[in-house]
Amino acid sequence: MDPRLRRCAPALAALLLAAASAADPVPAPVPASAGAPAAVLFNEVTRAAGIDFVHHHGGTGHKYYIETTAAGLCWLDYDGDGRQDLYIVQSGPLPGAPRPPGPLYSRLYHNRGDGTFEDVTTRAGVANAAGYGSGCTAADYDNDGDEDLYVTNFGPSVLYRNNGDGTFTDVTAVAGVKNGLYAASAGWADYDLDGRPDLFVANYVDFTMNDQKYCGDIKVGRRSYCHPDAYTGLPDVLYHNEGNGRFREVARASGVWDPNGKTLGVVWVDFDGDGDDDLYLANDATPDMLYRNDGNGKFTDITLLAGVCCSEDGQPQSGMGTDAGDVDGDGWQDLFVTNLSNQPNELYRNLGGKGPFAVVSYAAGLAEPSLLMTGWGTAMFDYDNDGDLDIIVTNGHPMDDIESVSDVMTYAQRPNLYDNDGKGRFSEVGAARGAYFSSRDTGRGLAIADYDNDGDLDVAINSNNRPAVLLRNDGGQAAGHWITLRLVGVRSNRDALGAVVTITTGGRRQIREVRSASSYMSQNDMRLHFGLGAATKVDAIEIRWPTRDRKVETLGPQAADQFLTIREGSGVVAKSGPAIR
Amino acid sequence: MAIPFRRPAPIVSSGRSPARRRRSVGAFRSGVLLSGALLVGCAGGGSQQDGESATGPEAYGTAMQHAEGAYKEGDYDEAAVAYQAALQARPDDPVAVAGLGTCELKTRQVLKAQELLRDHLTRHPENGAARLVLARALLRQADLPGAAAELKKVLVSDPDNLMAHYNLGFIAYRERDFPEALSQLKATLALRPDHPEAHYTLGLTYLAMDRPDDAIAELERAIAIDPKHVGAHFNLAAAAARTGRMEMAAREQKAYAELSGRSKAEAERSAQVKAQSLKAVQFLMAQQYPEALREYQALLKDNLDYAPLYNDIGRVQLRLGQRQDALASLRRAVELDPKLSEPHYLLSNLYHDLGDDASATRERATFAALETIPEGKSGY
Repeated sequence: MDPRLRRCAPALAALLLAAASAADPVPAPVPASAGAPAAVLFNEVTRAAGIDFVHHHGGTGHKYYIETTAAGLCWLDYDGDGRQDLYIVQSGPLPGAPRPPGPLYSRLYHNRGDGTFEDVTTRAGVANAAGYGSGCTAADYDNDGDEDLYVTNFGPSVLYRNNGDGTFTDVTAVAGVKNGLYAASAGWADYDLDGRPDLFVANYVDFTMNDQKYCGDIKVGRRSYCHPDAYTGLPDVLYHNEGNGRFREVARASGVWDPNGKTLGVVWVDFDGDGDDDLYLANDATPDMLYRNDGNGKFTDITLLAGVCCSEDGQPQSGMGTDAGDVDGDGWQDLFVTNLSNQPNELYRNLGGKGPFAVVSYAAGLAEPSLLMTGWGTAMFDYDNDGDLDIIVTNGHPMDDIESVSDVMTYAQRPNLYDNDGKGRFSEVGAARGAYFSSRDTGRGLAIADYDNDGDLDVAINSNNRPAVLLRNDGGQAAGHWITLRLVGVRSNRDALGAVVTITTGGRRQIREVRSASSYMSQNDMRLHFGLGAATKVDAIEIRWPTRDRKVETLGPQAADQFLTIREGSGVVAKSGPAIR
Repeated sequence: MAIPFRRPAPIVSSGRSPARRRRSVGAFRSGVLLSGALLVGCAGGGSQQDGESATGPEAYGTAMQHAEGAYKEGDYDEAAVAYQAALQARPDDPVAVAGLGTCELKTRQVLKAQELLRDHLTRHPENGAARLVLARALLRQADLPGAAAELKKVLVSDPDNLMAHYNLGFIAYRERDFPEALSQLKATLALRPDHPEAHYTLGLTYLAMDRPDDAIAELERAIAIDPKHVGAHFNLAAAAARTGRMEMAAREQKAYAELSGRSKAEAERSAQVKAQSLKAVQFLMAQQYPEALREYQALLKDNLDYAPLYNDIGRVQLRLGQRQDALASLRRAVELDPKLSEPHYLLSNLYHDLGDDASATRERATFAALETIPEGKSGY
C-alpha cells in the first residue's frame, strides 16, 4: 500500500465510525465489562443548553495586538448546588470598532441541572463590563464556603467575592489585586501552605492601545497582527493572601519574578511530589519557566535543569496553554505545552520528580499532528474513562491573514483530541469523536467539567471572535467505570488546592491534583475525575492534604460510578450517583 | 551588478509577515540541511542543455546568477522570479527547479513547491536535488514517512548522499525507530566524520534510548566540532543532570545561557529597570502621560546609559506632542544602542511628520533591517 494511503487509513476508519455514530448520537449505555468499550461522542449542544455567548475581539482593522489572544472560560460551582456553572470571558469593544449588536460583557451561566443553563450575570454582578477580558480563575480565597472569581483583563483585573447568595461584590481595590497590566492566565494555589489560597497572575507584553505598531507590509498596505517579538515582556505577579481580605505582592521576594517573560499559560503542579505546589509557565517567544517551591515561601528557577523551557534543540517556543498530569502512569506529573504553528506541542516527561524532564513529544505522537496548528487551550483528561489521561487542544492561527501568506496553514483550525494508549503514547482520534473535531474554529480557552454529572467529562471552548462551544460527552460513562471526588479542606484551604489524590484499582495507581487554573486563561471543574475502565470499585484512596505536615488520609474500598465528597479528617461525608438525563 | 528585473523589497515592520521568513528550528531543523544540500547540488549540478527556449543561454545564465544572488541576500520572492525566468529559458532545468522549489518553501508556499517538484520528478526522477527539496516540503507538512520515502529514492541513485542519510537518521529518531536512526547517522558520519548535526542527533537518539553516557559522548563530539551548538549544550546539560553530574550540568547550562543570549548579568540589568518602570507602564495604560513621563524621567537619574529608557521617554513625549524633546530622546536611544529597533520606527514617523522624508526613509529602512528576524528563529 502507498505509504500515504496507509497513513490515511486510520483517519478513513475514523470518518466511517463518525458517520456511523452520527446516526445514533446518544449511544445506549453498555456495561464496561460487557465487551468492547462503547463509542464516545462529543456532541455539540451549545444552543440547546442555552449558551448563547459570542466572543468579540473588537477588531477594527487596526490589528490591535490584543485581538489575537483572548479569551478564556471557567467552570465553577458558584452557588454550591453540586453542579458546575460556566463563566465565559468577553473582550471587545475596542476604539473605532463597529457598534456591537448589544452590550458586551462576560457571562455567568447558571447550571439548571437539566442540561441547560441560564444567564445570571446581571443578578450575580460579574459582568466585567469595563474590562477587555482575558481569562478567569475561581477559588474560595476567603475560605467562607463559596467560590470567588478573579477575572484577568487587558488593564485592571477584577476580584469578585462571592456573597453566598448568588451575588458577588467587586473587592479588587480592598484586596489590592488590580494588577493593571496586560494579564492573561491566573491561578490560585496555597503555595506556602498557610491554609489560604494565593493568586498568581500572568502578565503578557507591554502593548498599549496608544502605541500601536504597523506590522505587515506597508508598501502594499497589508497590515498584519504583530509578532510578540514586537513587544517587551512584563513581569508576572504573585499575590500572597494575608487572610484579612487583602493580598500582598510577593513575586520578587518569593523568586518568581521574571521581567522578560511573556506569560500566557499557568499551571500550579507539585511535580516533585514534596507536598507543595511548584509553578510552571507557558511563555510566548520567551523560554517557558519552571519554579520549584522550596517550601519556605521561596521558589527556585530550575527551568534549565529541568529542560522544560524550550524545544529539544533549546530554542524558546511560543507557549500558549499548559496542563500537568501523569500521562504514563508512573506516578509523576508530566507537563504539556501548546505552541505556535511550525513548533510541536511539547510533552515533557517527568523523570522521577528529581528535576530533569525528557522532551517526548514526537515519541508520544503529539508533535506531528500539531505542527501546522497553533495550539491554545488544552487539558489532560480521561474522556473515555479507561484509566489514563487523554489530551485535547484547541487550535487557531493568530494571524487572520495567514492563508494569504501560507498555502498549508489556515486561520481557523481543527481541534485535536488525542487518545492515550495507557503508556503515554497518543493517537489523534478527533474525527471519530464528534463533528466538532472535523470543523475549523478559532479556539482559545478550553475547560473541562462533568457539567451534567453523568460520570464523564464534557468540554467548553471560548473561541476568538466566534460563538462559544459546549461539547457534551455522550458515551464516556458507558465506556468505563469512574469515580469523582470533591475534597473539602478543613486545616487545608477549603478547596483543597494542591491536594494530591492517589487511587488504587487492582494494583493500578492513578494520581490527580486539585488545582484551579490550567489550559489557556481557563479553569476546569475542580473535582477530581478518575476513569476506572472495567473496575467496579476503587481499592484505596490516598489523599495528601495541602498542609505543612503533609497529612495523608487513606480511605478503604469505594464503589465505582459515584461522586464522593471527602472532608479533611472526616472521610467520605456525602455520596451520590450519576444524574439521570 | 545591474539587476534588470529587481522588484523593490517590501518595507516590513515587526509583524508576523511573510517577509520575516521565520521558521521553527525545532520542527524543521532537518530542512536547513536539506537546503544546504540543495546549494551543494546547485554548485555541482550542471544544467539541462536540451529543450532550451528561444531566450537562449545568456538569458539563462543571467537569470541564474541573479537568482543565486537574491537567494543569498534572503530575497526569496526575487529569487523565485529569477528562477522562473531561468526555467523559461531552459524548461525543466534541474537546478532552477530545485531552486524555485526552495524559494517557494521559504515563502511558505509549501503545496506549490510540492506540486512543482512532483511534476518535475515524473519527467526527471534522477534529479536528486529536487527530490531533497520535495522531502523538505513533506517535512514542512509533518509527513515524515513521505519524506523518508523520497530520501530513500535519493539513496537508490546516490547511495552516498550525505543529506539523505542524515535526514533519514533524523526522521527515524523522530519516529522512534532507533536502530534505523543509529544506522543512518553512523552512515552519515562514515561519509563525514565531522558532521556536527549527525553527532548531535546521535546524541539525542542515545538520550531517547536512555543511554545517557553514549549521549554525552556524542554531544561532546558535536560541541568539539561546533562549540556554539546551542542544542548540544542544552542537551548535554540535561544528560549530565540525568546522570547526576551536576557540575557538568551547571557548566553546560551556563554555556547554553550565554549562547542563547540569556546571560544573567544582562537579564538582571533589564530586570531592574523593568521593575522600576512598572508604575510608568500602568500610567501609560491609563493614558496618564504626564505621570508616566515623570516616572520614566525619574528613572534616568540612575540609568543614564540605558537606551530603552530614552525610547520609553520619547514614546511618551510623542504622546504629549513634545516633538523636539521626543526627537532628542529617541536620537539618544539609538546613539546608545543602534540595534534597538523601536526608536528607529518612532523616529521614522516623527521625521515624516516633520517633513524630513529622507531621514524618515532611512530610519524606516534601519527599523526594517533590525526587525527582520533571520531564518531559523522560531515563529512564523
